[in-house]
Amino acid sequence: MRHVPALLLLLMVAYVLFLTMAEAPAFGVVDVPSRNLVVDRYLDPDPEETGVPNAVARIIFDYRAHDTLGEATVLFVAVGAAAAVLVGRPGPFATRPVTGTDDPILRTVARLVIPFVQVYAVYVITHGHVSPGGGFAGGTILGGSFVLYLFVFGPGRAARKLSPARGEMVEGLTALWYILVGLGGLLLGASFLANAAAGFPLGVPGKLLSGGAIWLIGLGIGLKVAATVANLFLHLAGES
Amino acid sequence: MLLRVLANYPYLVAVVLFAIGFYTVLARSNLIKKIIGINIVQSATFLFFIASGNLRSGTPPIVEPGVAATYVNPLPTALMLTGIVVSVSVTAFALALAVKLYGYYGTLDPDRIAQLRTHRQ
Repeated sequence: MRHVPALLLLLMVAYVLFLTMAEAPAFGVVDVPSRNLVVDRYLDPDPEETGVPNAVARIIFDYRAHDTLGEATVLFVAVGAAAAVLVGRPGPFATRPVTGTDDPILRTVARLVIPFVQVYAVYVITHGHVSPGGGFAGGTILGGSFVLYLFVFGPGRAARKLSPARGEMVEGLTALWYILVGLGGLLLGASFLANAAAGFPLGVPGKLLSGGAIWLIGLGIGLKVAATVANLFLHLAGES
Repeated sequence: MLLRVLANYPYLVAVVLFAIGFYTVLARSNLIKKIIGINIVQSATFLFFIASGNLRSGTPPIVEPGVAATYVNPLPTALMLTGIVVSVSVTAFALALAVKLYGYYGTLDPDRIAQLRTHRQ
């Protein structure tokens, strides 16, 4: 009975969404309103403006690098807020949610898998400008390897590998790195977070060491996201 | 109209996902399930945006000079990166609050927590 208002509200919202969807432009064709001049600029086949072939990396680390700085700040604030909530007395009903496991299969598999996961993460971070992936995806994989370690070996041993204080330090330093690269653009006579206009060496498009500021920022973002994921899980597991 | 809806089936899936998540947030009394509902709603939004930029015969937007190809729209993908970051942040904060609430009240039911609070005063 108490679900009836929820169901009515749900029906109204779903009906409006359904009508909107019925009027939406066709799926999967080039001729849609969202595909305009801006997209053609982002997909410019000659990468002299950015020096990287990955159009998504062009957008997030060059054309819209300010947005990405905002995203980095959001992650920073999220970890800070979660830590601020979880710090202090845990309360009478608090349980330790993660304790690690004694299972030899899990421990052996984790020990074998984690190095490969981390190598793959480094590959995804460093090749984000020439192939799908990038700092955010690779950083999440790197953080995921730490989360696997935390769940198998327990938060105590995980905190000895990367303590929350050191994680916060990595986060702060990589955010600072992002801002310093941006200020470098200002220093070189162009705008904040400028890449080619500031004269960052773009290199040969498609090679590993290319893209100027895009590559530098991508490295920082990769480390930052990894530290964020690791820190969030450490805090939620009660290790702060 | 029905044919149009069926041709736009990714949008239909997004709407259905949105409805599932919305109902979960409204009807479930467990805070963890509410957080899962918020996540389903967010996934529906990501699916809708990324589908709006997709092409049936498109290639990933890794531009190769000299190759004539139709690339999918990279802009919704890049924007959804922001969405995912916000989603992760909101989930993390909500989970932290849920952990703390459970520690103090021993339950994750908001009605029960409100009851306990009035009794305590």
